[in-house]
Amino acid sequence: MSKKTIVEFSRYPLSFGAIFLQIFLMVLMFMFAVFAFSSPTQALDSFEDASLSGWAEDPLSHVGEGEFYRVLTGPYGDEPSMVTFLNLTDPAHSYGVEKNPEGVSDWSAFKQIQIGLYSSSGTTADVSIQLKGDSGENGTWWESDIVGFGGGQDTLVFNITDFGGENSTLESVDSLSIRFQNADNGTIVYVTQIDMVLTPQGARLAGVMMYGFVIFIFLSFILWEVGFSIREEQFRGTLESLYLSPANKFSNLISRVFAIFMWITVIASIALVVVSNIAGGLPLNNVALAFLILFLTVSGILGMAFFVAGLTIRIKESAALLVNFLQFFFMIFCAAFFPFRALPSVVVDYVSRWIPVSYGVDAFRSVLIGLPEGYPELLPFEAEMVVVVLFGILSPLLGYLYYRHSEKKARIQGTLGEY
Amino acid sequence: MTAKTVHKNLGLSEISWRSSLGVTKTVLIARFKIVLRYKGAIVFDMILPVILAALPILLGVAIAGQAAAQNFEDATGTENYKLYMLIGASTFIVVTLMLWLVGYWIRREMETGTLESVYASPAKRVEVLSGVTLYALIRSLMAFAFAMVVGSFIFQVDLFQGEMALALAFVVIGIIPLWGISFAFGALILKVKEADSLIQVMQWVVAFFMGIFFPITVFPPFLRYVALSFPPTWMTNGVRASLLDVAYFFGTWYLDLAVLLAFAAVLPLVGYTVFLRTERRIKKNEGVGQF
Repeated sequence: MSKKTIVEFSRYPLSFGAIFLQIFLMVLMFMFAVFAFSSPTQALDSFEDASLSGWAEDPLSHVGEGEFYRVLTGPYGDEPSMVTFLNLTDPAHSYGVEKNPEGVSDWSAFKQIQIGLYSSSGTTADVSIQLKGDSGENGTWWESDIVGFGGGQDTLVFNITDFGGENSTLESVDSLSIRFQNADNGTIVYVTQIDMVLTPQGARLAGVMMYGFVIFIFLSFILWEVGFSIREEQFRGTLESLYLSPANKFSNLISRVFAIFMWITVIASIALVVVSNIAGGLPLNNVALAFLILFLTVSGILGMAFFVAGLTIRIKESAALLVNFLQFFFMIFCAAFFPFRALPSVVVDYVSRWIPVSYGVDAFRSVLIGLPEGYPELLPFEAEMVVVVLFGILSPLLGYLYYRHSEKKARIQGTLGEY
Repeated sequence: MTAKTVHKNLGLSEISWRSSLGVTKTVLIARFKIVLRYKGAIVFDMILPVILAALPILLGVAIAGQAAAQNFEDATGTENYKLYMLIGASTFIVVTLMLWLVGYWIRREMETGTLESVYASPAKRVEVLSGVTLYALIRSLMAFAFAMVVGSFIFQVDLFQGEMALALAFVVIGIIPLWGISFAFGALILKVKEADSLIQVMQWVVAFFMGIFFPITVFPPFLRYVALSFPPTWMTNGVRASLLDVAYFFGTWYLDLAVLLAFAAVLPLVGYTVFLRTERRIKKNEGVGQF
């Protein structure tokens, strides 16, 4: 039966592409929506406010308001040339951290710094940036890896990989310095742009969204595949013939999801890689435990799909409507694309907490983002695991029992083949 | 005179505008009779835009917290992100239903083997298709109106801000090119047959390009041109610009409306021609009954 569904599935290559494209477009759409709500880059463009110091101060001149800085490169004694932007945390300035959505000086929110450089003389240089803070020990700082500047016009991207993490002692930032090494002496490079790429609370929210999305696409496609394939058999008149065969009913049901299950796994992995690249990396912790939770949650979802299959036998054409409704119901109330705290508390307390899938979604993404403070949101992690395990074991059993009940009833009433 | 008498005695009716309207009306009534057996489907159409709008709203609040409105205004020009999303989702349901209902009608007729019977009847194709598209139009407008009203209650937004009459003009005129697109889509279903996949993908392609959750200015130039060549993008932006502080593509309402009118003048004819050509080719080859 699995073979049959796989062969059937592969006979429609358009379906493969359609599913992939559909999921890809969904991800893109929500990502663009996210961009509309966040300030993805915060430009340090109010140059009239910038205080400057450092070795490159003398040869550096301000060329027009809000335009760019000129840096004379080359070693100054034993030190490379450097330009420093001071007072970044001063609320009087229009740049810096005061626009952080959380309203706190959380520099870990910045995942990337982009520096635009221009050199008409074709000067090349090895460029790095330093962030300095006043907290902790005197002189605490974070330095980026060196990025090569090949002359002309270029935007150098510095990923802030460990800043704000375990390896960093820096809690706030006062100044940003750009260091030029191995540059020709006395040539001019213009700093045309300094953008702090803001991803609120780091990649955490991207993780919450994407990992919730993974559970959602499994849920959506499994419900459609199991529930709707029964409907299709009814529609084509082959459901009764299937019942005449000696095949095991459970295998008959479960075999329907194999093809789609494999394909969804591939697509979900690709989607995660793509988004991870766009978002500058998704948090990825406790992978083995996350897989266990995913397995149990998918098992529970299979049980729900059996239930839907049982209902399909009874409600027939309305099954499509039911599955459609369930998809969106779970999407909203299981907070597939956002944290539960985005929902009104009354909805969380009276709806979300009563849906076992919510705990699967919550536990799965919380584990993957490293169980930070505030996650999981519904229950303590251990308690959520209990719910997830019970859901994974009991749901297929109960779902299958319901399916058999519906099937038996339909056979007694002689409505199995009716559509 | 004799011929006319013979004609009448044979029980044949003459083809007149009244009989043409009769065909359209009959198809329309038949579609409604069928769908009224599944009342849940109609209710779902009406609720879907509210659910769709809720998703980015919740996502946005989760991301930006209290700064959601400010950030959204920076990106789009309006801080009323709830109404922005509601308009996007409601116009999306109009577009998707127009495509879905026409495409699915053809596919269903193919699957149940009744498409050939429809072709064998003396009714003109345009009359039958008009009935189906009119049905899709009524259903989608009902969904649009219901979603806007219910959504405005749920999200606590004022619908009657800005130029309501102008917004309605954008909706009404924006639907005419959809007619043409749905004919072309029907032709595609006739040709490709795999309606489910096509419809599902088309839904998201449409949603993506018409910018239901975001302004198309966030697209790179190539994608922006693709989006602008798609009439629903103009309809959505027109409605938003009429009701919210969002810019028209050409800066003024009449230029945007003129573009939509141009689409309305051309696309129905193009769509219907495409449909007839595809149909003729299929009839010559495998026939319309094959699925």
